[in-house]
Amino acid sequence: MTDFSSTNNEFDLSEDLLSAYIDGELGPADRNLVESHLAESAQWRVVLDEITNVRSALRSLPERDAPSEFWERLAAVTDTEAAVIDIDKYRRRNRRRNRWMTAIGGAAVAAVLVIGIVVIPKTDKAQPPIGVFSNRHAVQAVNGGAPIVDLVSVATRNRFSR
Amino acid sequence: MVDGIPTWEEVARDYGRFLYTVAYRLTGNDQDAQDLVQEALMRVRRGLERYEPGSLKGWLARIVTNVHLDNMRRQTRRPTSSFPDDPDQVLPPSPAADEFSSDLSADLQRALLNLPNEFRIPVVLCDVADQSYEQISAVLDIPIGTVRSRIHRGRRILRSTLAGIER
Repeated sequence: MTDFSSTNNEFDLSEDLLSAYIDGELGPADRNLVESHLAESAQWRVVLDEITNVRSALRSLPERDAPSEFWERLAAVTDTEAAVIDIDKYRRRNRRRNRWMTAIGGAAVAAVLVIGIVVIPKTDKAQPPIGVFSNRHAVQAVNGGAPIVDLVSVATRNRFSR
Repeated sequence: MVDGIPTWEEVARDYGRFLYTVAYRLTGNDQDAQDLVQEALMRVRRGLERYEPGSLKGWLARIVTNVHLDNMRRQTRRPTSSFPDDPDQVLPPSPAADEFSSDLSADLQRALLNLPNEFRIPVVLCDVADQSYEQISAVLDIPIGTVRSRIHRGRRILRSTLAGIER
């Protein structure tokens, strides 16, 4: 219930206030003001009667019902819809489960990788003997099997020049 | 009913007539009312899991109104037309309705249908679905003062229309 006008010092009775009064929608202060106006004014009582009559006529309109075939048809339609809803729920549940399985699988692979990289210690500490290897494969034919680094001295010795 | 939440079958059985009556008063003809109720009950079925026990009629009135508003937004194809109540489908009147003739009922339905939606919907929610101004305000997302004003203006138009018919 609302007091629409109780904050005003001047209370003007309006028809919509009267309508709300009939509907029982006024707060106590407005209700008292409306009732005191009605007590003093025959004209407002006529308006009250008119609004009351329309309201009563509306509220006395007969109930309606659909033919029974409508309800039978509706039951069939809603059963079908219920089945569709159930299938949708099943699909959604399946999709959710698949997403979980994918996530769990991914996590498992990641865990294996982490273990492989971080946890298992590296055991291959062998260093290739690069110096020895390059010396062995250097051009040796020029210098009777001597490493290529010694070619400078060979060139000097044989007087190569441009 | 489980934990205060009805099954769809219970809603359709116990509140189907309520939904249909509101739908008919909003649309003014049986075909549109049936479409409206069908869609509303589909939404009810989908929404029952989220329903919080409270005013079931309020919740249903909200759904049927939202479906109607959605239809109105889409609907440019078929103008609504009003038909007098079909006696075969009108339930026996309540004792309070005895004084009103079926002519008045048909005239009032026609007048109701001629109301612009902005007045018709609040009037129907108030006087047919028996919703409070606060509930109507929530359904239509408008202030309570606007609800009060629209209900009154709707009733005033109906009063003028019926007075014109009487003359």
